Amino acid sequence: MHELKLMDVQKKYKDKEAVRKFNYTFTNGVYGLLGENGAGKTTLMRLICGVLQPTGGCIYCDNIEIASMGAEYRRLLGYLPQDFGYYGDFTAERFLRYMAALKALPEDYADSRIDELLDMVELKNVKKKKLKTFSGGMIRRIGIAQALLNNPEILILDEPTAGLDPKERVRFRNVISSLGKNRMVLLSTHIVSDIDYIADRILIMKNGELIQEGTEKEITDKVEGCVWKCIVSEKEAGQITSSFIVSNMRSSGENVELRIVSERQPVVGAENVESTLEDAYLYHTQITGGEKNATL
Amino acid sequence: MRDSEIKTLFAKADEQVHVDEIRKQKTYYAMIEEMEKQRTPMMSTKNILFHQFWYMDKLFFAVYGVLICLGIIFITALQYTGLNQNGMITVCMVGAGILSITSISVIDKLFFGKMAELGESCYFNTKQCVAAWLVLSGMINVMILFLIAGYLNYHWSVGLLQVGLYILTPYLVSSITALGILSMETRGKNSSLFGMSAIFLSISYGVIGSIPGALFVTTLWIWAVAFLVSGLLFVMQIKKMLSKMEKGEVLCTN
Repeated sequence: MHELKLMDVQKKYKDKEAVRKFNYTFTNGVYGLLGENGAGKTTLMRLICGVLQPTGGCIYCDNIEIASMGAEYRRLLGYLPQDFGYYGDFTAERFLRYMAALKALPEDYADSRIDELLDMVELKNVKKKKLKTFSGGMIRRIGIAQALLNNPEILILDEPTAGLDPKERVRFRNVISSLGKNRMVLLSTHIVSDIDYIADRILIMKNGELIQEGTEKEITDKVEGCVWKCIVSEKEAGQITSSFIVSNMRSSGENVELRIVSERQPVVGAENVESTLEDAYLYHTQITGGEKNATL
Repeated sequence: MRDSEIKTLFAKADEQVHVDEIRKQKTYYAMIEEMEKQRTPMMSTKNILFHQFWYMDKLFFAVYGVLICLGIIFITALQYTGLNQNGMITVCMVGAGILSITSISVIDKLFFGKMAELGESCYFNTKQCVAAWLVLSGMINVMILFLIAGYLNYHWSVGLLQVGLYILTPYLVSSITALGILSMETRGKNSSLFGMSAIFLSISYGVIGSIPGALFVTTLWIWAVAFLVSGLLFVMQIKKMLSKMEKGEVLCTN
């Protein structure tokens, strides 16, 4: 089991601070990193992978700075970048073989691993096809396969479900869930349902900062009493959506059923309901920022 | 019984057991070996390079090779066109510059782009791939430049030191420019910048070659100074590029 410790990690790009004083310790298990686009998730993942160097603070793996571990650290890593590059003219199999060479995997080991992984991501029947003919979901799946090639002890997946259809998403969740038992898996997304069930711990980032951390229950418990349900007319619904955070909206006849995230009762007659991770995410990323404080 | 008392009991019992230091060491190494076996097996650097070359996209290598062959044929054919000595040296200067930019643009095509970020997280990372290709292409290029120098010396009676300076200086200047492009955050515009710099530098070398007296023995000291300065800048540029790659922005944005 490895321990990855981030101490005051900071990353500045000229005038923009993408990650601010990030402190956290990862061990085995699945960690879900949630945040809006531009929250600093990708930068944080690049820093953890050692692709980017922090402008402040340090990242330690088992108490050794990852920069000084070099190849020994990269040996433990499996990484799927958000914008995953590939050679279009390569077949799926050749691409994985090329990646296996970069990961220094011996040929016989790579052979069996490639077969196993292509089977797992259900691309075995198209292994001789060129990557440029693959759909977005297939490319994502080949990306997941390459990240798992070296049986990594630290697996970092940046937006792994982007482009996957609902069936693929479910399958992916099951795969990650099984992988997280004996390794560290860190996956980022802005789709709450991707990590809702599989993440052991959830981290919420906003403007480069870690604003919330905990299990799903711990996070949702914090917004208990802040989620409301009400049925209003279409006209009222328009007013409410512009003044409050509406996490769900459903038409029922001439009226509209709304699910609202708010610290106080948004409209007379609104009932308190049980909070979900999505509500908590919206609460922490939007209300905390001071937006939408109007009163009806 | 309290925890501390139990600990003391165990410590006392341990003291009575004789520990053979040699066997202890052997067990320790056997354990390390066993742990190593359980880890994913690894290849040697030589095998990594071989396998990587085996599976990588060889189109750009082919383009680089074809360009070299065409250049050699072109330069050989020029001697039958009535070109004078200065003209021949100028053509070789331009050729040396193009050779350098081409070999560095191969790095851009093979290891940069969106593959750079993924490659950097691998055991044999992008920086190592770039360094390996720089060494390999540098060796090939120097060999070709030696061939050109030998040819100019033999067929056109230009002194070896002279011709060395005439072709190595533009080679280094073009390398500095190309490495500079590779270290810039161009967001995928590297190819056009390589092309533009190749054209601009070729014209510049052409102009320098046509300046009366520029290729005389009397101006050799100027070439020697230019060679030394560009050699120094070349080393600095390589260091700068590797340092930029270490920081990572250039790998994630290009």
